[in-house]
Amino acid sequence: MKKFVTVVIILACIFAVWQIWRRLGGDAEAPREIDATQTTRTVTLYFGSRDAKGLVPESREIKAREDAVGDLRGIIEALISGPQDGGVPTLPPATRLLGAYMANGTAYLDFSREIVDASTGSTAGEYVLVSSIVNTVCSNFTGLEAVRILVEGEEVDTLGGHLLISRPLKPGEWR
Amino acid sequence: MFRSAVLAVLILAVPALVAADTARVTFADGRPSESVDVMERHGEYFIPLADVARLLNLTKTVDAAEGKASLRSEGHELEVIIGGTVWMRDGEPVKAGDAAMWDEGTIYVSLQSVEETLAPAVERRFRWSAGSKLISVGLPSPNILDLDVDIRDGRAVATIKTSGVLNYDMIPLSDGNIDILVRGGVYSRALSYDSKAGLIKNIKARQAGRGARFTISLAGEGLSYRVFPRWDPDGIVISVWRRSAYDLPRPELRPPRQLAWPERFAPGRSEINVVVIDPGHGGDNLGSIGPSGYTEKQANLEIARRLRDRIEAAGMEVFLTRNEDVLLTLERRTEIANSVEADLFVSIHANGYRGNEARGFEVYFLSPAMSDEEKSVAAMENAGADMSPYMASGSGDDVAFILWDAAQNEFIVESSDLAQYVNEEMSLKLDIPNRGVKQADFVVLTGAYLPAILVETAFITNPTEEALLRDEAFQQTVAEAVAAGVMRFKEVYGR
Repeated sequence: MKKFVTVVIILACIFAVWQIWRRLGGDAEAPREIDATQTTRTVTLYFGSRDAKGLVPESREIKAREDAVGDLRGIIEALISGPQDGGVPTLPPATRLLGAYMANGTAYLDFSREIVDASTGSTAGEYVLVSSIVNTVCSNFTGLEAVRILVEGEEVDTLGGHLLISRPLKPGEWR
Repeated sequence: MFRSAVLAVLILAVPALVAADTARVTFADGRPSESVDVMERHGEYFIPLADVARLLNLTKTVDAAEGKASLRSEGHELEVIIGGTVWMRDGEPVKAGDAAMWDEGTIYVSLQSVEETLAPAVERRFRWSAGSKLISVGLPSPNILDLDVDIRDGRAVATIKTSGVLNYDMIPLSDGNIDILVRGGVYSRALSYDSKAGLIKNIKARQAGRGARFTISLAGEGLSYRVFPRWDPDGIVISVWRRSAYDLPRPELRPPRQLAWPERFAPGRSEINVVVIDPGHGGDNLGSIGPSGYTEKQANLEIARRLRDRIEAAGMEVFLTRNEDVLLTLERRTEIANSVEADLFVSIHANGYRGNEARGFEVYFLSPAMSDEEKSVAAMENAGADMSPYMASGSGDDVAFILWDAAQNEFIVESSDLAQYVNEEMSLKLDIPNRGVKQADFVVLTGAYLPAILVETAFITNPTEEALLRDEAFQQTVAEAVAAGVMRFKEVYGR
């Protein structure tokens, strides 16, 4: 009997921790179009324009994941896979998203080295790359207002040596 | 009797001073320069204490039986204990770098101990340059007035109070502590701070050759700190706080590592004479590459050299951050601008993009510092984290931050005008599309405490513009346009 009670208490604890974990991870508002019966979600991806003057939106169906962080990962992976409708790719295709989390209205995205190595080394290239990430993330989650970009788990000042990205990146400043 | 015996042992234990030498002495108070005998032992130079007393106008008494000598100035008394590295100042122990020695009836002290311990203890200025064997004796008016440590809101805030704005270097030490070298700093009295429990364990000041060096020992790991200047009253502020658990991606306010806040700070500038031109990239860093292989680093340097010639011809002084194919760090580029006390900073780049359609020139200046709204948002978002030291209302830190921020903004207004003038001149002289004046945070422009712009001359990834960038006539036209913008700025802002 005693053993049984102990097991129940342990299970209850695990459940409580899991609930807290879920809440912490998913504090951004859930995706708008998500529906329990649906398995896909319509998202807007922003790629570069051909003249490097701005961004080109592209609608895309992605597989809905169990929580907002999962959706965030899915959106970034779609962005990495590149445009299908005439935009200019921004993230190098070899880039991997190593980690993603959300807190206090900010998405933290941890990318692999390729985001730096394959940076075109120019102001326009860097600008469009950063603004494509920031606008894609913030437009798909009403609860997210800013993005922080990490590389291999580290905070970096810049991707290609031009633009400073060490402060919260907001869509209003990266058009 | 016992003490005499100890002294005798000390005397026997002290090895003889070896090489005799002379040092030149110069005085700030108008006394004619002279020479004194010094002794060298193991690379360290020693001087008879009697000479120190004479040079520094101190009264000296020797108590041979007690193994000590005492030096007295107007307000202080320093006991130099023979063989000891701890001396007594007004009854309190002070640490001397080298032990005082007794040799054939003369007490010797190392010149370094005189500079670092003895002279400051009796409020005298004594500087020893071993390389040139030169002693400088003087009493310049002290410009470091006080050291003050305040504990509030869980932070330790140390303020080095200065009279006037003094430049400083912040040197993070490998053991996690911080050294701050206040250039040309002279303190009026021995300054130190000691705490058993605070975030700042202690602060030690010493008069070094180039100024006053403050070593700040932090209490263990997990601490964040910022160092920044304060004006009116002037000073240097060191703010230390405990990093919160959730603190990894912090808003970076980038207070400069090395500050140069000269008179440029005063409203209205006197003259605009010195321009730093920064050709982007170089060495292994090619920058963008054109379809036929012309590299951005080449184009940048060609245009920068032509720009230099134009601006020099107009009578201004120009420094290039690089005049050859080498790679400089971004920090080094702005350091050059700050160290030559430049009035303007112009970085020259060529643009690049995937595909070959993007075309035109554009001129950037630094984004304005955060708006008030952003600051309060940041304060909320980071309550307890790194931003909080700036945000606590009414605190000295807050004031310092606002001043720093205001200073940044002052340059931003000027930078935006400079960008505008350069853009207009380029628009008049070039036949490629004008992409306008833009704002962004450039790494190379942050930390440049002067009006600064970055010019993207053309898209090297576009075949037509690559050909233009190779073309000397185009390079020359770009240089003339940028120079014309600089001259307009000089006319408007110079006096």
